[in-house]
Amino acid sequence: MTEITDTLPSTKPMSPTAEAMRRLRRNPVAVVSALILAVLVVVALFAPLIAPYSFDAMDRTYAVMPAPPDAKHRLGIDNLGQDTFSRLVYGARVSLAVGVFLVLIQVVIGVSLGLLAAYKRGWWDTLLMRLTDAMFAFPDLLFAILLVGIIRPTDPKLSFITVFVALAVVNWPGMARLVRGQALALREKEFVEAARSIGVTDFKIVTRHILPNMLSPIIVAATVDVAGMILAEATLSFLGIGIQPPYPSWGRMISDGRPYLRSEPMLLFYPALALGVTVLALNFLGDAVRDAFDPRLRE
Amino acid sequence: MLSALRTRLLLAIPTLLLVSFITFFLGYLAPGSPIDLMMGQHGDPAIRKQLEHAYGLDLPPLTQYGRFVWNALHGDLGKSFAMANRPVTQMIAEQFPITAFLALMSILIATVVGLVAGMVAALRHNRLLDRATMGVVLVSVSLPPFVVAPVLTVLLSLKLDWLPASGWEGVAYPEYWILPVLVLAARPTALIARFMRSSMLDVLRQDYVRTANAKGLSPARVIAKHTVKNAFLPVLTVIGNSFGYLLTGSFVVENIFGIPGIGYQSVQSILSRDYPVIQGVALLVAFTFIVVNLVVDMLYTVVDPRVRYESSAA
Repeated sequence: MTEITDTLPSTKPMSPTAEAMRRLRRNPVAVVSALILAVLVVVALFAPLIAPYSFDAMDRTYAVMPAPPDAKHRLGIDNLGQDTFSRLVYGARVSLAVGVFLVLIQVVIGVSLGLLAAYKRGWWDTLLMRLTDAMFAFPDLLFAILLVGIIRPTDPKLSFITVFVALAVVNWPGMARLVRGQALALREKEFVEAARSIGVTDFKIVTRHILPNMLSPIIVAATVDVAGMILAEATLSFLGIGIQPPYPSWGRMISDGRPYLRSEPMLLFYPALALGVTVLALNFLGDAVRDAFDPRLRE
Repeated sequence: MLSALRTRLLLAIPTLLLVSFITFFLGYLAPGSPIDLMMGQHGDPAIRKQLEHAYGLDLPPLTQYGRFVWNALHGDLGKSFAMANRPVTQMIAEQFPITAFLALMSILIATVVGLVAGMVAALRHNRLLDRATMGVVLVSVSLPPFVVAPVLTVLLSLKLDWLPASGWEGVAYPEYWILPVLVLAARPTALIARFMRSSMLDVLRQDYVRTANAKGLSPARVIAKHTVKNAFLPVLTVIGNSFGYLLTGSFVVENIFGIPGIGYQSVQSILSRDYPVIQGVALLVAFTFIVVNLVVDMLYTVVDPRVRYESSAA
């Protein structure tokens, strides 16, 4: 009597998300980008502990400003006597806050409107499509520039609000269209029909069956959009209509460093480097996430 | 084709009305009036009244908007608050050609370099050259013009002294516009290269390319005759969309290099709350965008005979 044994090679079943994460961990570019971003998040969260000075503290002891690095100010000071390193650290806080919050807002608006349009159809859908068509007919960053340009407040604190509002207003249509398209495709799938046929409510179908199945395209789009939002804020601030001084923004620091390109070029290149590395890390990670979630690239 | 053109142009009217409506009423509701900026600290109420009347700012908002639209239809976009009463249309007529020239030169360079880079990357798929090209592409997409510009300025102007760091002497002096054009072209070049690569990879997998190879055509002929033209189609959309970026980019680049185009003017007008100029520029941008998209759609029918305008198309 021979014993019957399982001759198939044992393969542990893996969820698509777990498999994507495994592929992501094997990608060195993705790992390095994620590490850089992790450091940046820590810097942003603990800015007051890391920065030696406050972002608006002015050191008046220098005869010539801006001044090159010395023992007191490791990266030098700007034309107002503000410590460059401290402003870079607080600038990370501003950039990351802008990127993360705006993308969260955009996901909330985009998912609700996109699902509403795809599930209710009718005039909800028509309204969304016409509205997004109109928004796509105008370059979005330019729209944001005109918006903040016109509603620009006089109080520097309020400049955060105008930047957030303007960028949120121009940035949701892409996500809404993405969600709508995904939802339209998913609602015709057999498992949704099966759920509907046994009397599952619309709300439950959307939250249990449709939403979880479109998470990966949303995550990919959101990762890349964080970079886009950080760049958008930096552009507004560079033009002088974004975050207002004394609050630090990398875009504004780049702009403020321009007159000293000959004498103190690092005043411009430090924030430029910070911005460039952040956006590059986000884009490299975004690309890697997209590849990891793409079922066609599975080995 | 002609009737389709007419429908498209008619559809542009609601878009332009919407843009003018939004910019007008945002300007109306905005904090801080341009009169405040003109009068400075000391405000004599009588002079204020006089100024408001002269600019029609004492009329009810809908009447003001109606007047704005009526005048705009007659080619009058009002007068600048900040620039000594100069007509907005005159300012646009002087400055827009400069911006348009920079945009066209940039798109020309971006298209040529982007197409070649994308093709080369696709033909060397997954090899070193492909990976290197795509790395450069990702860097160019990630870096904004205000990071690229200072790097190039320090390198080409301050260190090597090849080009002036800023200024504008007209189209006849390329040393002044080469740098801005390169900075503007960086991102569109990268996007075009990326799309051309993936589009080429798609086409190279098609049956008709296999057939062409199987019947013994030389590789060069297969690429020239069967691949490039088909791969180019989706890229055309990217080229069209790049104009939106170039207009936005001109706001930044013209400021960096001190070029007296519409982007430079717009930022100055925004900073001085010069609403008539802002409204004029918004309309101009919307109009340019509509025309560019129309031209791209028309080009589609030229490049691909399969795409035809139906007379019933809305």
